[in-house]
Parts: sequence; C-alpha cells; structure tokens
Amino acid sequence: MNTELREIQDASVTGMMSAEEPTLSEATVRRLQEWGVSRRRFLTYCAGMASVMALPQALVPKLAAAATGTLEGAAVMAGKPSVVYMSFQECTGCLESMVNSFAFGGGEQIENLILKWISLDYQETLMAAAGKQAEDHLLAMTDAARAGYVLVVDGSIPRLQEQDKDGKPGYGYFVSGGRSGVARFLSAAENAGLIIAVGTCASFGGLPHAFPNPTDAMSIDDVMREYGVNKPLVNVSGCPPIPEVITGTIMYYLLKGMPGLDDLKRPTVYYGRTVHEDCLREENFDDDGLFTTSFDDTAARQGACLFDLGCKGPVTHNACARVKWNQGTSYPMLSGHGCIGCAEPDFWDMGKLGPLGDKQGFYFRLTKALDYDGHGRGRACNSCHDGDGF
Amino acid sequence: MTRLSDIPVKVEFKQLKESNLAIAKFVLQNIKAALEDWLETGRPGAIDLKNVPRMAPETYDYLKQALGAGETTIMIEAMARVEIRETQYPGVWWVTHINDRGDTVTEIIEITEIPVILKPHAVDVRAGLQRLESALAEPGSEGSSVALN
Repeated sequence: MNTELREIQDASVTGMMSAEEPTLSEATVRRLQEWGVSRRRFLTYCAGMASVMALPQALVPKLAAAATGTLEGAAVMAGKPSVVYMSFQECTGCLESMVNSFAFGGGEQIENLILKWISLDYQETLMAAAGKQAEDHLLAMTDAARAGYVLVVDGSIPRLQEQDKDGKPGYGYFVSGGRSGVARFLSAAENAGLIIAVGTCASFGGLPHAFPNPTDAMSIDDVMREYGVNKPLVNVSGCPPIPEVITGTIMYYLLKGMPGLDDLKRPTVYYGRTVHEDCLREENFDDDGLFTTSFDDTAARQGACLFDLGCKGPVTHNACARVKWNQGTSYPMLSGHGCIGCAEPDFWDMGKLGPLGDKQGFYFRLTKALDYDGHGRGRACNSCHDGDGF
Repeated sequence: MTRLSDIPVKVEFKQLKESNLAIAKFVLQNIKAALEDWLETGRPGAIDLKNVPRMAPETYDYLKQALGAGETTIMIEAMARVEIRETQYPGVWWVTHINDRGDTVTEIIEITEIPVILKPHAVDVRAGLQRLESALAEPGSEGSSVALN
C-alpha cells in the first residue's frame, strides 16, 4: 500500500469519517433561540470549527452544547472547564495568536463563543487584577479543591542555579510574586489535570534556550522531568502556534480526551504531517519539477518549490498548509517564503546544523543525506513516516 | 429530432498525478462503503474533505466531476451561506459551508436522506407553531392574510 492510501486510511480513523447524524439537543436549540442566533448559521460555525480542529463532524452537537453551555452530564455539574494560563520566558506572541483564533466568521455573538466553552480563570495579560490580588487569585484557582483544571503554559523556565545565603537554590533568572519560575510552575502543576505547553519556547526551550542559552532555559517537559511532575503533557509548538491549533487542542481534550501524540508529545491531528506534504508547491518537488532560484521570481509566482531557498517544510511538522493562518487566508509558502521550521526543536540554532557545519541562519538548503533522515534533525519520527525519506 | 441536450457529453479529465488520483478514488471508495452501510443499517455518514490528506485542487475537481450533479441544489442564506448539491448518486450530498467573507470554510460529503442542516428542529417547529397560534388568535385575523404577516 502506498503512503497516500495509508495516510488517508489513518485519517478515516482520526476524523475524516463520521457515522452519526449531528443533531443538536433541545437544550442547545432553546439556548440559541434565547440568543437570537440562527440554528443553521450556528451549525455552519460548528461544522467549520470541527473541521479546523480535525474533529469528526459527529461531534458537532457536543461542540455546540459546549459552546452554548448546555453540555449534559458531568461537565454541567463541574461548570465550564477551567483554564489557567501562565507565562514565563516568552514574548506574548503565543497569547496574541490565541486571542485571534475566534474571529472565524461573522456574527456578533458567535465570534466570542470560545469564551463560553472554557472559563479562562487566570491570564496575566488579559485580566484586570494585578499585584497581590492577582497572586491570590492564582493560588485560589490552582487550589486542590479545583483539581483537574487545564494548565496552559507559554515560555520556557530558567533552571534554579543561583545559591542564596542559606545555600538553597535561588530564583534563577525569573521571579514573579516573590517566587521563582520553577516554584510558580510546580505549584500550579500540582493540581492540574492536563498541562499544555503552548509555543516552541514552552515545548522545546525556543529562543531563550538558543545558543548560548544564557538563562539555562528549560522546556516544560524538561522541568517536569527534572522535578518529577507526573502529569499528562501536550506540546503545541510553533513560533507562534497556529491559533486554531491552540484552541483546537484544548477543545479536543475537553470533548474527546487526550489526543494521540507524536514522539515530541505533539497532537498528531495537527503535527502528524509535514507542512511540505500539504504545500501547494509540493507538486514541483520532483526531479523534473520547477524550483525557484530567488524570492518572488517568475517561477515562484508560478508555484515553484522554495526548497533551494532554504525551505524547511520537508522536516517541519505542523498544520500551516492545511489550517492556514489569519482565518484561513494563507501560509508562508503560499505567500512566497519558505518554512523556517519554527515548530521543531532548536530551530533558532539550526544554522549551526548546516551541511558545511557553519552557521547559515534560516536559509541554508537542506540536503537529503544530512537533514532528511528522521524528519527531525536526527530524531526518529515514528508518528507519521517510516523514516524512508520522500 | 435530436436536441442539444440529447447529445451525451463526457468531460475529459486532465491527467491527474497518480497520488492525487489514488486519493480521489479512495474517497469514492469511502462514499461507496458509507452508502452500503446506510442502506443496511440506516446510519448516515459524512466525509470531511478538509481532513482528507493531500487534497489538491485538482483532486477536488476530479471528485466533483466524478460525483456529478443530481436534480437538487439548495442554498441556505443564514448570515453564512451553505450550498447543498445532490450528486448524481442519490443520497450523496456535497455540502459547502461559506463564511460571510465568501471563503469556503469546509466541504463535507454527506451520505444521508436529507442533510441535517436542512431539517427543521422540533424546538424550532414548536416555536413556529406558537407564533402561528398567536397570529391566528389576534382579533380580526380570520380570513385576513394581512394580519398573519
């Protein structure tokens, strides 16, 4: 069986097919009537969201019920799922990406329905509280009595490396509210049901971790391993991640449970394929295909492959070419720029891994012998390929 | 006398890449399996084309032409637009959701009697019935189409 058929068969298991009629519950339709929202308009919205999030269409009623606060069973008793969002060494680009994920379509109320699905209980940039009130609120929201919340983390965390006068580890390069980054994370993680590392900094260390890593920055996975935090972790990498992938991962967990993960703990529904595989220029990635030699040349405008300009699409797992950016408008290769591999570990340092061993920045050209194997710069990739190249 | 519409027209597909053809045919196989399942068990099916790997534009075109056009085309205008086209195979519907900017949000092939988005919901029907009863109860509504508007 060839690769394409195997993939499509896999897809039929993970979301392509569904075999239930997506009928909304009476409670959901009554709520829509109260809001004055057209049921058919709302169904369209939910069908689109399910599609973007790679959820089966059969889950549309559940998605609709969650969006309207009419989900039946345990979820109603527990109230809306609580999300605590903490930031460490980061640039706020991930949050900026996430808050832009809701403008999926028109409709004054529908645009903001994501905030009806979850209760965003702590986010330093968005909330009004500051100082002691904010700290008290964080401790209250992460208390054992509220165990099971989703902890979203962006940014890397510097290792505790300085010693105070008592010989105990100091704050390292991060302190907030009188606590180190490590202490803040460990405290919040203690009662979390799921931890989602959003962005490449949280997932793999990202920019703070890049050579020479002056703060000794660690990924969330590293912190959890070092301090023995045994909680489910999902990495949503990207610099920033695609907005719909961030919210989609949260919704997937809430509606379907833990998503399948690749060997870097990323959801395979979004990171199971390389951006190269869904790229519109992929059809030119043949021996007799059309390749560009400079940005925006005639060939580039005709859909030529950007591989010779250093595109990292063949080794980068993400959904850019499938989900696209800016509400489905475009993605880098469609706009004429190659992928820089921002969803993969150590992408800031990849210039050091160029074929000549010298630092060449983001634009060095991949070579099959040095860079293809394992699809992850030396790591085996068992989730989506057989490691047999292209 | 032979009319223009009596002349059979067969669209010649441009040569598809082998991989794209394989994907299109696999989707068609899935449609066939879903139709068989529906007839046997009554369970409807749906294929979300956006979640089919490597759906190139030419694969969409091939699928559209392979499924052809049936007798029914329905357009829903509810802020967003939904185009529902029956294919040449009864029970197989091509449903396209379009947002208010005119972009295609998703394309779904539904294998069912009537796509669920078309069916009125019992809650809506009851609300409509209440409105009708209220309209009829208004003084002077009997025999007056104006009062019912």
